[in-house]
Amino acid sequence: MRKLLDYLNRPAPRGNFFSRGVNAAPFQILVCLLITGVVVTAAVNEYATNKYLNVGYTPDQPVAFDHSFHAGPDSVLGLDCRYCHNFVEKSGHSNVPTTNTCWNCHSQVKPDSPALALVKKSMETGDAIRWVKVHKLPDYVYFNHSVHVNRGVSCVECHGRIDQQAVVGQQKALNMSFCLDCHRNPENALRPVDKITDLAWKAESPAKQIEQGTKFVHDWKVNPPQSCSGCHR
Amino acid sequence: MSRYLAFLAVAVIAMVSFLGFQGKKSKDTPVYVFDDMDYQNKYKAQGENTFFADGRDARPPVAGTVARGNALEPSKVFSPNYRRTESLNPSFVTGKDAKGAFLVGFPAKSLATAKGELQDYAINDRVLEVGRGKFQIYCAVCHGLAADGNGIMKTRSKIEGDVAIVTIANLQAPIIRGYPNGQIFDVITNGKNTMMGYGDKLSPEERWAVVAYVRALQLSQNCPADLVPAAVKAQIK
Ligand code: HEC
Ligand code: HEC
Ligand code: HEC
Ligand code: HEC
Ligand code: HEC
Ligand code: HEC
Repeated sequence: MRKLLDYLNRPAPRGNFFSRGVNAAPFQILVCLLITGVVVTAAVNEYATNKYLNVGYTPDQPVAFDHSFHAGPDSVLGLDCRYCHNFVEKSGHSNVPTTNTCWNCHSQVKPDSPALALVKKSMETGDAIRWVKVHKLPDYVYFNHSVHVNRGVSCVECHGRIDQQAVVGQQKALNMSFCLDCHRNPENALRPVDKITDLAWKAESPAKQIEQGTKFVHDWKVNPPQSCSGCHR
Repeated sequence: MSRYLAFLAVAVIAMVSFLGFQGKKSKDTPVYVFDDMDYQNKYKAQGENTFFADGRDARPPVAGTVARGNALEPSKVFSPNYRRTESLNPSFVTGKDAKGAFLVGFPAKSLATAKGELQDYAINDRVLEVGRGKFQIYCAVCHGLAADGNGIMKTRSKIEGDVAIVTIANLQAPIIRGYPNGQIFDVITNGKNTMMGYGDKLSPEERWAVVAYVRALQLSQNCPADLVPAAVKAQIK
């Protein structure tokens, strides 16, 4: 007890207990916090989004199939997307082709090439080729290809220029704002239905696109859902 | 403070050099820190499944069963007088008549029913338009846009001796002009020799539409003078 009282009644220290620099401390702490805040915000903005997490995902495929050689009007073969993804206009799911589809040509073209060994094996045994899925929406999102494709929304809007890619990679973010940006203003994207697989197609001018698009929206009674239950059903 | 800022700068540089920027190409499966309910354990179209020996979600239908989701109502399917429309009008799906000979013309009835009656089948603009679309997607690579057998898969061989399919038939040849419609339909459905069938990709309606369009192309390359409209004739002369 005595000791405690002595301690409390001790004489005040001479001069300043803190160094002079401490006067600036609150200011410095504030600046550091601000800069840290900016860095963290920038990092979250850059990394915690589909644009970072998913865009650019380009997995190796079991067979080195090359879209830029096979598909699209500018490619060597000029195959239409629907030759292989033949259900895209008819069903919600756009199928990856069966091995038979490749064999239509490859039974004659290089059937013994080592690059096609897995395709040949699949034809013989009936085992599926395990293509690695690239584009994925979360399972709580409902998506349907045929509604989009039959209303003049081209593959390029959501998949980018697949016809220029040797290996398929995700090019669009496919996050919720991506979908909604178009659902709010579909006239920016709609094109004649026979041009959906012509990925290089563009209206003559942006003004023409809006004019045409507005006409399609009206004529086809296009009404993309913006309410939550449209996509989360 | 300067020490903290230097530390922060090093941390940022380390992070950016490790993580890169948006749009960076990567072969690694995207990582989800909080995967919420993004990927649920359910069967999906063309999904993978480790439970079954063939590794697929999709199961082949058991023999004698009807696939779900093709708009058949159980009450109808199980009634004693139920008939599949295909069995009411088999020539529409086989291209052959009751005796097994190829149909010469187009089938008289379609698969569509109204009040239990099969509807008439007729070739019109819409059918030809469907046929044109399907022909250009599925046939033109090999047989060419004019069905003359000069699609890219054949002409390739002339470009620097590239691999090509040399057996591709010229659909303008007299022998194929002489085929009954049903025979062309059959080639599309089941293929022939070195051509594989397209029955898995084209519905019977679409196959007949392609037959109609092939006939139109044949006519276009060999049009009798009296079928040419007068206005066009005037232009040619
Ligand atoms: C010759 C057949 C063929 C043609 C024609 C074709 N594809 Fe593909 N496509 C495939 C195969 C096989 C895969 C799976 C392997 C891969 O991802 O490369 C695939 C994968 C894809 C994928 C990625 C699927 C995923 O896993 O997310 C997209 C998107 C796609 N194709 C779009 C297109 C578009 C657009 C066109 C038309 C320009 C087209 N394809 C034409 C065969 C084809
Ligand atoms: C319309 C015909 C056609 C179809 C359908 C087709 N291919 Fe090809 N493919 C070709 C041609 C032609 C070549 C080039 C051969 C050459 O001259 O080197 C080729 C080349 C390839 C090669 C490179 C082969 C090598 O040894 O260099 C691979 C791999 C390949 N195709 C995979 C596929 C797969 C997988 C599919 C099915 C999804 C497919 N192709 C469907 C026509 C086709
Ligand atoms: C409105 C946007 C949109 C358009 C237009 C679109 N796709 Fe897709 N596509 C998607 C999304 C989203 C997925 C991923 C779906 C999922 O999670 O299964 C996908 C998946 C695919 C797949 C992979 C399917 C699988 O399960 O492996 C293929 C192949 C494909 N698309 C082809 C096409 C082709 C070909 C076209 C044009 C004819 C097209 N898509 C047009 C959004 C689109
Ligand atoms: C480039 C434009 C565009 C993009 C991008 C787009 N959509 Fe759409 N979507 C449309 C249009 C146009 C319709 C309306 C079709 C109609 O009214 O017939 C539509 C309709 C729909 C519908 C209604 C389908 C039905 O059965 O009623 C759903 C669900 C949908 N979109 C989901 C999505 C999702 C999920 C995405 C993002 C991955 C997406 N859309 C991206 C243009 C787009
Ligand atoms: C056009 C289709 C569409 C509509 C309409 C829509 N969403 Fe979404 N939503 C999506 C897609 C696509 C995703 C997945 C985004 C991703 O992959 O990060 C999503 C994801 C979400 C998520 C999860 C986000 C996360 O990262 O975990 C929530 C929560 C959500 N939506 C709520 C809503 C609500 C609330 C509404 C109504 C105001 C709504 N959504 C309307 C397409 C839609
Ligand atoms: C991958 C290339 C390829 C495609 C695509 C293709 N064919 Fe063929 N087709 C062939 C070849 C090769 C032959 C010659 C078959 C033989 O006699 O060996 C042939 C022959 C034919 C014949 C004549 C058969 C006979 O009896 O001589 C017809 C008719 C025909 N094709 C129609 C079609 C139609 C219609 C399509 C579109 C649905 C189509 N083909 C798509 C390669 C193809």
